[in-house]
Amino acid sequence: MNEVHTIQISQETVNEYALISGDDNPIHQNSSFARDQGFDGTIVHGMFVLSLMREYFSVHTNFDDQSKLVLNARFKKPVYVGEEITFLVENKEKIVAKNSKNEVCVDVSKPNI
Amino acid sequence: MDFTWISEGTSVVNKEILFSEEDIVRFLSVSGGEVSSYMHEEALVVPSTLMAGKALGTMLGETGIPKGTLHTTQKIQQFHSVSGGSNLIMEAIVTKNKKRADTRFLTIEIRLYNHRGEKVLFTSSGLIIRSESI
Repeated sequence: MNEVHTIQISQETVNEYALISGDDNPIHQNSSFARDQGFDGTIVHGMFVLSLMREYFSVHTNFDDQSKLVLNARFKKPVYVGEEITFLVENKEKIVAKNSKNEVCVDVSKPNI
Repeated sequence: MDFTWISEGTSVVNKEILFSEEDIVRFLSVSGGEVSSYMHEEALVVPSTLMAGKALGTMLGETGIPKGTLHTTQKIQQFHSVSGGSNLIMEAIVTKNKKRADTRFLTIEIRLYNHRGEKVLFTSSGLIIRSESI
């Protein structure tokens, strides 16, 4: 498997995710607040990135089995709103999201159970 | 709510959460999912990441965990499917609460139960609260 998918996550969709999830942390929606916290701008909810990855790979690969889901995610670097992010399959049990510097921002594994 | 009372072993939230069909459709719209993938016997089932995300968002709101908190790890394990329109009971428990310098490291486990009392979802979230002045 070598599925690759590149996306940019807009502030509008982040705001919508905040409404759906109830996670209204301003670090995701208020650029001034995010900068005060040491970031370059608003960052995407980790759970939203995970959701995007899961939905993409569940449709395009056999990474996911809906009926017995177990996922472990690590949020290693922030994903910025508007930043180009690439999802790719590392192996049959691990998918990652990388930024334009080729840094892994999120890795998701599906352990054997 | 004053967040500083939280300690290891504390149950911080015991709350009912509705996962509506509207939630599912809106969630799939923003996350790139396909409604057809979540149709089961002509009813929508709730994506596990929606359950986990909404439970986490609810927990953060209920506990008063400071704005600016960072999410570092997430485990999700689903045991049963849940139909849209269901109310689930959320139980959130702090399993780790360590403070180093001005940073606090929290692990919060969330369990969601259906109306039959069955555990449908388990999540474990690692959180970092920086520059703690609370």
